[in-house]
Amino acid sequence: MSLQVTNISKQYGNFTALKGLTFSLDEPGVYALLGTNGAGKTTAIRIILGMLSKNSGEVLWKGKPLSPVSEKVGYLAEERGLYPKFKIMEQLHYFAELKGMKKPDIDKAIDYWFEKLELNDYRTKTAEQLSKGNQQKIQLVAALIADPELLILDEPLSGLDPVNANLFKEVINEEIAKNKYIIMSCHQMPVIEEFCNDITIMHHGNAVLQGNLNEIKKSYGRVNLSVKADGDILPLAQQCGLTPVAVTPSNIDFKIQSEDQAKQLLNKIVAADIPLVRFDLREPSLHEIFVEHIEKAEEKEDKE
Amino acid sequence: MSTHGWQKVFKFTFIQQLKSKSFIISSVLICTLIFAMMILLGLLPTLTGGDDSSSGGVTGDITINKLYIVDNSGITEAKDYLDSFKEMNIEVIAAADSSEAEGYSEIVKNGTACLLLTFEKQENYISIHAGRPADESVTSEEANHIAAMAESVFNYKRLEKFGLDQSQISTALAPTSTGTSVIGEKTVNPIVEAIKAMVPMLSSLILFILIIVYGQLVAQSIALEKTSKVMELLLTSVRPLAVIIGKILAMGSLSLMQFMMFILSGVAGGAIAMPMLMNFAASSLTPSIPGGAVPDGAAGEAGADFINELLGYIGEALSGFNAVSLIYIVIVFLIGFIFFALIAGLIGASINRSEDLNNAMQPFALIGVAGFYLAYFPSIFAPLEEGGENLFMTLSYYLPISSPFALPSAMLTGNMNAIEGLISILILLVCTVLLAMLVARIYEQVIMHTGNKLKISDILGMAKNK
Repeated sequence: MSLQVTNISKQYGNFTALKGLTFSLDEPGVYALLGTNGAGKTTAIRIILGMLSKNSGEVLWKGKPLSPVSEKVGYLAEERGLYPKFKIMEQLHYFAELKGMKKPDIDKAIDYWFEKLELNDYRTKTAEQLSKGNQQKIQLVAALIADPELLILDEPLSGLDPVNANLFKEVINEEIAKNKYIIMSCHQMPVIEEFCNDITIMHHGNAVLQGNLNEIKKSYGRVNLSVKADGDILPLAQQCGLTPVAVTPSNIDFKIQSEDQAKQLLNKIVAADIPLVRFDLREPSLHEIFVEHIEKAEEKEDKE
Repeated sequence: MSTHGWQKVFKFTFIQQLKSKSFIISSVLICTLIFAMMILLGLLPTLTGGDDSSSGGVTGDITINKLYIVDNSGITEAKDYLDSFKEMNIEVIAAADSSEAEGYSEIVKNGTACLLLTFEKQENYISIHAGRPADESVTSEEANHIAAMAESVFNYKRLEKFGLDQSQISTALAPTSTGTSVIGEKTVNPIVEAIKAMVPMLSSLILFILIIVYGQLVAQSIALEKTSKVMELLLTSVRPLAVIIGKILAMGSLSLMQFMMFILSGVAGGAIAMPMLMNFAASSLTPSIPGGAVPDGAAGEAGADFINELLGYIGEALSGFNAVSLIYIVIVFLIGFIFFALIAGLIGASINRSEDLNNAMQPFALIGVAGFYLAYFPSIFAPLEEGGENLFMTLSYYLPISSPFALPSAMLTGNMNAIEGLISILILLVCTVLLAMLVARIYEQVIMHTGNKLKISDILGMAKNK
């Protein structure tokens, strides 16, 4: 077990920002921390990084308390920060030296990441002369420069255009291939589904859902049915006890109780000789799971 | 609490600040000003005409061509003045008596830039009178100047006639000063007292400016890192305490370096101004010797005497100036800077928006100003009081908010001995260590605080609850 976060809590006066969060990264890969704004994700990350004191719990890295000062930990913060008026190369050298790196290694790492992230034209610029996207790239270089074993990415793709988002995704895939331990906080559910094995969904400081993403989805079963046909299928659906949840020009979506309902509808469409364009039976998306659990948590809080 | 990595923070902060436009411009500007002021001090006596009150104050060239002398003093003759005025291309013409002088005065009336100088023996004194043409071709200042020169030659000559040599004449003509004091009490020299009053003013002011300005820079730098979120990146590599220590020491070193640059500028300016002052002293303090016959080295000697006298006054005023006091001053400056910078750093860390910094820094400025005035006012009034010291002055030596401003001048002027200085430094050191412990206790909480604006009570609450 490489990273073990056990029962960490944070209290500000009467306000509880984090209530007994526990999770672990047993294998290299990406762990997702999801949640609404103010759910406690950034607080959890700051506690893991030792920036914030905790009221309870512990954070262990390979069995010992995690100390980012002595371990090489890379961190891309949600709120980006660089010295606006200083040259970016000087800033990167400074950040790398603080990580204990020597100049030749720093130069080598900068050359590699600047090539990879297409930053070579900006070597002599100050941070304030760069676009927001390029500043974000510099921050990613700062997080990766020391080749950390543990990488924490807080909203890595927010504010990026599709081309730069793809560049970032390539980098994340590269780090996964290098067997890095990555914690990612992100509001873009497709990105989480693309990279993450395990997730925690948080709401108001509580973990409302935790586990392996594939297993969570499997536990729901294939309950989403999406149909497109060149004819009216709604009467046939009603005969099968199905009520549409969404009707759009391209799809009619149903929530099914069992896969038998879907088979029944398919047989009826074929028997009625209605040309079928698409018949898609699938598991719920992470977005749907997220919304469902947050709504449940809110209902529970309202009752309490 | 780990301070690992403070050296790297120090190096980066020092280099970036050294390269900053604000540091370069302020250093060049202030050093140039100090240098220019020193040069100006050397030039000032020359520019203002030096001792003009006695010589009449001539700002331009002398336009007089001829000097008619009627000498009825019975001591000197017109020929005694020949050589003195020859240097100024003024022809000296002797007039036998007043009737002949009347003839000359007719020439004078014709306006040929002439002057009629009359020496008359009166009952108890000798009168020297300069008559100038009515057409204003000779100004009254020129006439006064020539009359004063003639008076110097006359005084010299009359002593020479009594058989005195050059050295005896210089001694006889040396200026005198008078003063009164109570028997048994130390004689008060007004020049020494003036220097003693100026030293606290200048040293307190310079130290105040350096400590407050660089303290503000520490706060600004920490606030920038917090508000721009760079701090979050730094804190994955170093602890907050290492950041504040690195920054404070870097800013302290820079302020000390800038202080030394100011001193060196002053010394360089002084080195250029000193020969000017010596030349001025030579020309204005050497007794006029007829025929321009200033003895070899006499001007230099007179200048050196003047400078030595001045240095003597400065030496008396700064009786405590020695290697030990200099070490004390550097130490108290550095500890004092750390004391104030810790407060500034904590304030910088407590704000969440850079625009709040100025408001948040007001308590810091108030503490600094209070310390400065406590050090400054009692020390300039104390020399006028009985015993030269008062309660506020003593208080200012030992209170940590004022001792960094008060100790240097007190040591330099000899108002504080080495033991008292050591006690003052120890009190400041203990208070700085206690403050550092308090800051270390709460700094990590303050720097990551992003909620409501922190009040002093919140900060103290953090220290209590840690």
